[in-house]
Amino acid sequence: MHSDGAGIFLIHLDGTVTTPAALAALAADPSPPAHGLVRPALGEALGLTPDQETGFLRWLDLVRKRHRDLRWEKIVQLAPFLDVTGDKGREGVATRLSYRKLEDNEGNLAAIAAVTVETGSGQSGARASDGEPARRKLEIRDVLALAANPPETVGAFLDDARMRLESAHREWEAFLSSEERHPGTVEGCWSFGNRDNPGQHLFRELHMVKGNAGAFGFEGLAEGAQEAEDLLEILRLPGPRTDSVPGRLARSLEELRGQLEEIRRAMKSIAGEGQEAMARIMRWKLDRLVDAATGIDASGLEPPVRGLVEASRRLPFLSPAYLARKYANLVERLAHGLGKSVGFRVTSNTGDIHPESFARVDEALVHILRNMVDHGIETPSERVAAGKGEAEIGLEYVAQEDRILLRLSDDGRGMDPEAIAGRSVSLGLVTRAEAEAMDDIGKLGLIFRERFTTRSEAGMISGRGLGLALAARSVKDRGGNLYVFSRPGQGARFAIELPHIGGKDLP
Amino acid sequence: MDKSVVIVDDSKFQTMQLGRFFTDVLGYTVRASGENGEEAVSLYREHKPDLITMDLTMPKLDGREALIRILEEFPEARVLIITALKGPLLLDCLTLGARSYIEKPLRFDKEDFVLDFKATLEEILKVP
Repeated sequence: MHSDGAGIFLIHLDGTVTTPAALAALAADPSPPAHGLVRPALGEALGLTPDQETGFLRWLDLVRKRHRDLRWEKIVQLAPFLDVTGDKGREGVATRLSYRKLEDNEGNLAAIAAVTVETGSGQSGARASDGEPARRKLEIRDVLALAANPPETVGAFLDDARMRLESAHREWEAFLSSEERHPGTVEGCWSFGNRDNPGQHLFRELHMVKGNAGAFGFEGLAEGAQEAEDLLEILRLPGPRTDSVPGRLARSLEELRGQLEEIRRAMKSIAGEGQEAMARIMRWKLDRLVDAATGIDASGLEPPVRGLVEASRRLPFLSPAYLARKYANLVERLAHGLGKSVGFRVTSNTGDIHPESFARVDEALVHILRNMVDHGIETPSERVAAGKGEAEIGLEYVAQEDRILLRLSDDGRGMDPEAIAGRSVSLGLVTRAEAEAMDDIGKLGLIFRERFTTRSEAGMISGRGLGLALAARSVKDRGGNLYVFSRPGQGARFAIELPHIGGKDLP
Repeated sequence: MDKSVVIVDDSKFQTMQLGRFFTDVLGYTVRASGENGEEAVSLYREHKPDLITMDLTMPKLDGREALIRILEEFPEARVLIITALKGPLLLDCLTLGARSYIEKPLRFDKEDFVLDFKATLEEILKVP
């Protein structure tokens, strides 16, 4: 672009331009003769090479066809920003155009106003001036990216990126030593121009590195690849050139390789020092092993091999006590909040079970335990008065041939079937006759009724209400049953009975 | 009803990222994903999704050629180009009838990028 061509250009849809000088003339004398000025074509007005002009006309074509249904900012981002970096021998100086849509009175696109913007410094200048803080920020980004992605996939990406950068580097070296470097022109002129598809391979490698680096959040690497890509794009324009671009591209490729090695080193040190990363790798490997073993039909295998497959399948299985630690925490937290002290004990008749075994009964367990701690267990002074020691809640996991039983027990104040029946009658859940016909188990079962609630008046059964209805429904939804047994003063026992699902619960 | 999308990109990482974004953030159903232009054409034919996203530089059949074939058969197809190439090729595709484009790298961690992505989809999908 002509350096003296600064100002506002009006680019018309037919590819002609009203120059700043013509605009100034029009402003000074808007009479008809001034409008008769012949508008120069784009290339001439902006000082473009024929290729640049072709590119610009293509963009104008897009503007004409799509300005109604494609957002202007999307269109503008595709406009040929004429980066003339280096063309005038001033490295790091870039000139670009900013575009505005000009519409006529009826809202139709009439022309585009292009304003020249001298950015003062190109990308490399801007990066350099950002200095140390920017570099640190990128380093932090790298570490975050390492932490945010599974080490296995990051490793695969780093290997892939290294391969691509090396391949790009090789192509660049080959280009440097080839005849294409200066096809019949003076030493120092550069062009990919003799090739059918100049620099395509190099471009593609950079492009993949950039895309993947961005996807993982390795921002510095993505920016570096973008810069190299931009430089290559400039090089790929036809025609020999004598500028600083090749040198910058070579440096850029070198920097990229350095950056990648930095990330590899960071990853190694994280994996080496932190058990966390190692544990994650092991978990991934474990998952793969279990998946593979699960896919094998072990029935026809020799006993030792079958044992291996079955043991592999069961690798992630864990003890009921370990799996129930969530409920131990829940009980401890609830008790602490109420000024109570409650022990929690898990027992089982089986070895390790599927890690998701408790998932189906989670809702029920939480409601029942909450109820036990809140209302079943007495306050410490009440327990002392009743001659009881420290309170305890027990969870028993029983695997049977055809079903799973989860028994929960507390040694609290227990429930009085008669009090529950009376309360249910007064709430209108059952008639007196119905209540009288029930045995103790039936009466206790009324606590699972949805509208059963006690508020404060019945100390013996206080609060055992809505939560238990939810627990009952949740168990029923999963094809199971929920039972309750209790005697006043002697604690309460709940039992959840569930069918097996696909052998998952089986030892 | 959920919008459906087919994702075509020769980088599996990016397909995965896009898939996650479409599913988790936008609530789309990802019908299928492919790795090259030929798959783009056949997957579009098979699923007729509300939207197909594709890269430009892909093996076998590049994005431009795939776009032409899809539009030839299904002029109403909504094709979104997702690319890092902002050159003449992209201009050409948009002139040919690709509905819009998204510039790589995919920065789903950046608000501006996500907002632009959403605005672009909105713009595309409001046209039948």
